[in-house]
Amino acid sequence: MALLPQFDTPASLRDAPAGSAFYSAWNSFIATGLSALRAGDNGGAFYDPTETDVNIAATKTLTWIGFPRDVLLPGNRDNKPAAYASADSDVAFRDPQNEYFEWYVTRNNAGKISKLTFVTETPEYYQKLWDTDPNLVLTLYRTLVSPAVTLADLQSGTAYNKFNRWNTTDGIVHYIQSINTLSAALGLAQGSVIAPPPFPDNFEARPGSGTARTAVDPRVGFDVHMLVRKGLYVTFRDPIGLYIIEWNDSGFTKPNGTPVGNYWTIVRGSPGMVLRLEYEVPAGAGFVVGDIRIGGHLIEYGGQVAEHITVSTSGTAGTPA
Amino acid sequence: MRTKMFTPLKNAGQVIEEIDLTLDQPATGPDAVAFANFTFVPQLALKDIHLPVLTPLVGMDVPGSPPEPVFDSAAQGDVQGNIIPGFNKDHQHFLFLRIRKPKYAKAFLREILPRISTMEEVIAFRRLYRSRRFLLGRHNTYLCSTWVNIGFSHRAIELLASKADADAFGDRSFQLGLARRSSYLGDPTSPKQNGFSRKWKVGGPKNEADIVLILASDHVSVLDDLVDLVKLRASAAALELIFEQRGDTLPGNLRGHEHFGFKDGISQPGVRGKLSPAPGDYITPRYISAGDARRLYLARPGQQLVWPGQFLLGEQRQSTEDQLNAAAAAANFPTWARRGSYLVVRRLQQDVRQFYGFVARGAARVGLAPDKFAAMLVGRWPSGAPILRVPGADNPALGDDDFANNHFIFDDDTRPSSLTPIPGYPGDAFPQAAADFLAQVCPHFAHIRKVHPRDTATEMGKPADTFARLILRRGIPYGPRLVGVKRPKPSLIAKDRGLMFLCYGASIEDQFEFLQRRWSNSGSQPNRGGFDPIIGQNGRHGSRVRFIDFPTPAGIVRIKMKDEWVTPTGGGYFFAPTISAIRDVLAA
Repeated sequence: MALLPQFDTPASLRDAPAGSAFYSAWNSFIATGLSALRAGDNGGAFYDPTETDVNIAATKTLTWIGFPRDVLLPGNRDNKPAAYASADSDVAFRDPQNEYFEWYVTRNNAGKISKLTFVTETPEYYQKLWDTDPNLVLTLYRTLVSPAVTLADLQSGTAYNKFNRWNTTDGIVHYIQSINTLSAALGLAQGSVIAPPPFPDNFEARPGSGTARTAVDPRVGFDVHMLVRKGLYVTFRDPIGLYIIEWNDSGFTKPNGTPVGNYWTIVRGSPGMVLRLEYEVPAGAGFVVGDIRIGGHLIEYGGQVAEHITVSTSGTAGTPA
Repeated sequence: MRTKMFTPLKNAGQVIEEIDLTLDQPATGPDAVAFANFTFVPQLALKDIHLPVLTPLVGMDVPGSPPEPVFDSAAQGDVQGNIIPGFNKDHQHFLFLRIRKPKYAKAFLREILPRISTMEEVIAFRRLYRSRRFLLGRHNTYLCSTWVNIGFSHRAIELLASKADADAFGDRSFQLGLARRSSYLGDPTSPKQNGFSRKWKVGGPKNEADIVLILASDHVSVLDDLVDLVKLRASAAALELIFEQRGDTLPGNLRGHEHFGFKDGISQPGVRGKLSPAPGDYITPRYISAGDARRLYLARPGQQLVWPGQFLLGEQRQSTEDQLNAAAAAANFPTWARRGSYLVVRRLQQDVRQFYGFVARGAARVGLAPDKFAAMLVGRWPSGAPILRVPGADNPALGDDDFANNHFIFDDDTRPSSLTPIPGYPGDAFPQAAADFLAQVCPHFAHIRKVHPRDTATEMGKPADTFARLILRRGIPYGPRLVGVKRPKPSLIAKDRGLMFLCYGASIEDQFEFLQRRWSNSGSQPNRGGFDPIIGQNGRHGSRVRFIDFPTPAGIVRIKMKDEWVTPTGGGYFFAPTISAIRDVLAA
């Protein structure tokens, strides 16, 4: 294998013109977030693939549930409706949505859900775009949320305001939840490397994030630790990102009880690396998302659909070249 | 620096090829020939390699283990025996009844109440049976017992108790019933497909059962007599017999196997709890030695211990956050429902010809022997031997060894088991399972890895979460054996056969439905690698196509398939209450 020349953008997006300084800025951001080499037990390590040459022997896709597990378990174990309501409750900060997965609920005049928008885009990406050219961000907001967005709406002074109305109360573009950042994801994976002593298996291992009640932290923690304790060199697979990988609408039924059609639209990213996914019934169907039932239960909250969406990131493992 | 032995994957584990093995027409030609000659299963020499020891009445408690609840004689005499420890009878008969006159139904319940078999009775018989088997050195002891258990639908509870009582059950899936949850489970939704719920023999929207009776015996003639009697009395009580199904273990060497030929029911959770305060008197006997840390979460090698509230309402439940700890009991049910359990019944038709047609095509495509290919779909060889322990060929001795056939984990090397002294057991000398974290030996799609990922992290996070998903399976095959029959006649092939799948749990949604929908029906959960090729279904907006990422020496081959070999044809969601609840509430 050769060294990775440069980190690509999530899902290889090309929101800036070719040759833009944005791409090198993005590369620098990732490189800064990844330690050159963080050694773990038994000779394994987490590494920066632009600096360390590794013979990649395997890829592994780590998946986790999009709905915030710690909202469901253990507190609402016997009360799923309460969990759904809670996960939808904080529009301004989306604080409960802590699985690197956030969503926005659009309701019609009758209060029924008319559209759901799910994202795995990071604030860092939009910050870097803003740093390059605020109009790049403006263009995206106008495309993704509303033509009515103005540059003034998006800024606080001259700085980019991620808590702007179009990314909170009036729409969604990227994460705002306090720990949903790409930096945090990079740190989570690297922090899972060291957890002495070298336990024999996952039943007895205690990676740093192993006791977290979320899905993503133990998922990444256990898997990275498991690979590193085997002496493997582990890193994220380029293009590094957090991606929607699967959604399951079996059991979703129209008001007449028949199965729904395919109402999903990949707006950003590509299959396997989806960054923005929308769920909306086509106009003219005579019903909206809020009229659909999932296994007999009417959709009243976005979380009911989020529960059936899987988020992922991919990694590679190998031995030093 | 120590780098573990590690075999790199070709093409770094990427999918190198995608093939569609969906069959346009029913299996004919080469497939049919392959099927007819596919007779490896009868070659098994299933012998009494060893026999389980007696359940110790006294001994010692597991050192360092948290105290577990004691089910005294009164409690054991109240809980239905098919929940714990399970009937495990070779012959079972299922009656699906519809209540026409609740008053008469109550009279029927009062009449049948003394016949409903309890945990205490079934445990007592099991101990007697094991004692006799131990003395005789053979399975057939000629002892006979005949058991009866019962379950009630949401509607039945509404009719026999009250709507408030029925609605007080917190399990939302139980409230809705199986027919309304069918498509959520990925079942076919087109009237053209056999598995469509409106075509079910029982449990569809138009033929839901209110009561299921489980009658079980060691001997057919005794069972037949009891079935006749119960049907007569049910009829007199205006209980309409919607459907009945006989289940029998398969004959000869296939005893304990399902219709595809694989030994079934090997891996069951061990229910925590004690039968008396006496030291060591556990519901699930403990065999891990005191010096082994695994004694705290395993009853025997590979059998994970689970707190009883996962199967009996109102008992301490399994923590979702820590594999050792208990969590508070649930309270979302009527008071009288304590120590009852939800019962899921699924009549799963198995198309043996279709399955082995796929096996023949798939094996040829990836260059494997059919038996190896089939074993990789299941994760075990037909004998029950885990493919992780013997990747090269089946090992019937391992498959028959209850202290070894479930002893493996996936992500790391499995350490040898450390057992308490077991009279007559020579020890587990079979090869230990090597770490298979890249799922090259037992693929992520393999049935046993899908529904029980053991030590592996899942899309729900830590492995401890999986402890709270496990169910008590109580299934039995129905229909005549086909697998392994040389040159079967078309009339035999055409017979209806499959599995009467039954399981108990404290939450239908978080246990049975979770395992079917979230894991079996997904290519990405609990781990990326494809659908469960045995029971997995795809119901996503009309598509029935599933895939498996099959590991080959050249890389991953993604195999797509649309043909289905396990088809739901009936069932229901029920609640199995205690004897006292039937006496004091439902029959009162």
